[in-house]
Amino acid sequence: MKNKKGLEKRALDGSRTENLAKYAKAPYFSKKDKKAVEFLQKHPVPAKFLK
Amino acid sequence: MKEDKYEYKKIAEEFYYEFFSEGPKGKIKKIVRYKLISESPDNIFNLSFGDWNEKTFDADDSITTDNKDRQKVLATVGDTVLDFTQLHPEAFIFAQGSTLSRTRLYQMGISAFWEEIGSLFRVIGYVNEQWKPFRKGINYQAFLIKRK
Repeated sequence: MKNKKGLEKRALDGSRTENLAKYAKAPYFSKKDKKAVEFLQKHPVPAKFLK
Repeated sequence: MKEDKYEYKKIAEEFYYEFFSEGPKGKIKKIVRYKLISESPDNIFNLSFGDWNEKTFDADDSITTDNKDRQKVLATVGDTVLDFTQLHPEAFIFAQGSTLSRTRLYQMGISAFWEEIGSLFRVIGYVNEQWKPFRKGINYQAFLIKRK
């Protein structure tokens, strides 16, 4: 029983790791980050709003 | 938030949240992801949100899913903001859709839950070449959100 639970947990961890790897490579996210950085460089947030 | 929402799964170490929209178009995987994009002078995290496509191994926010659950999806995204900012109360969250209509969707989400959001968060929006405190009914180009 304990082994079964261990296997199930490893399977879940595996899928979690796989998903993380997939998401990390997704071009959409890096494109969005690049766009956000460019937007904030072009339109910096005034210091009064960053307190 | 009191609104009906989906349960999400979290990959906390990299700030990903996953949930499934369920409706007439089936079960659609949604991803919300927070990424640190600026550390100085303040930590600004970029919020990205989209449908996950298992064939292209990519996300997309330009798709109109039409799964008849927009409010529930927006409430779930809001719920991830609550969770994320509980863990990172000093974080600023930057949000902008990939198109103006997508950004308006974020705005509709903020407006729909403004009573709760306004009491918990400071929200500013970019409009007419200026950052200004959020007000309902204005079409902003981007938002910045922080816990009060």
